[in-house]
Amino acid sequence: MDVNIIFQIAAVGILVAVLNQVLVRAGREEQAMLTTLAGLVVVLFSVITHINNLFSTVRDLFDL
Amino acid sequence: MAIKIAAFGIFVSVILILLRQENKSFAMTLNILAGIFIFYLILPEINKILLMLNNLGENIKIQSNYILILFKTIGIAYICEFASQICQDAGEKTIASKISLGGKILILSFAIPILNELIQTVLNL
Repeated sequence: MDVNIIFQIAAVGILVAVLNQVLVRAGREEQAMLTTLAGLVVVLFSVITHINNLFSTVRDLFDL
Repeated sequence: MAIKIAAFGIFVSVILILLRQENKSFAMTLNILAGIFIFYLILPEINKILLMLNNLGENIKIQSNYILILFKTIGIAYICEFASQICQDAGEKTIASKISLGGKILILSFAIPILNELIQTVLNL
């Protein structure tokens, strides 16, 4: 768990946003929507694994 | 360490402003990740504090389940607070208040037995 993950997610977010704009300008709104959705799913997977790590750490720490 | 946390927090919130214009859901995921990262920054200190509390409990011969209940309460409070603030940031005030309500109920369910024991000991005086 280090700072790189934060930068990766930010980079993916900005990349997807730029891609979205490009596709919208090119007249393909559906693909734009799909790429944004795909980027979001990828990011959500990594966030879910980190949330899982956090909650299991807290569970071990406080014997929940 | 404090400087690292503060600098990191400010830095991420600047990135979040940029990201929020483009796509709100990315900003929320980054928000969650920043919270998790700051928790991992302070994890060693939390470990030390918990060890000290444990030793304190053994020295004073307090029954171990009181200390356990104390730890559980802190754990539940932290998790529910973390989740409810994330939901509040996302704009869902109702979900946030429901999560904190759930946390309070859970903590209360731990506290009731202690209250009973306290009243019993007072009555038996």
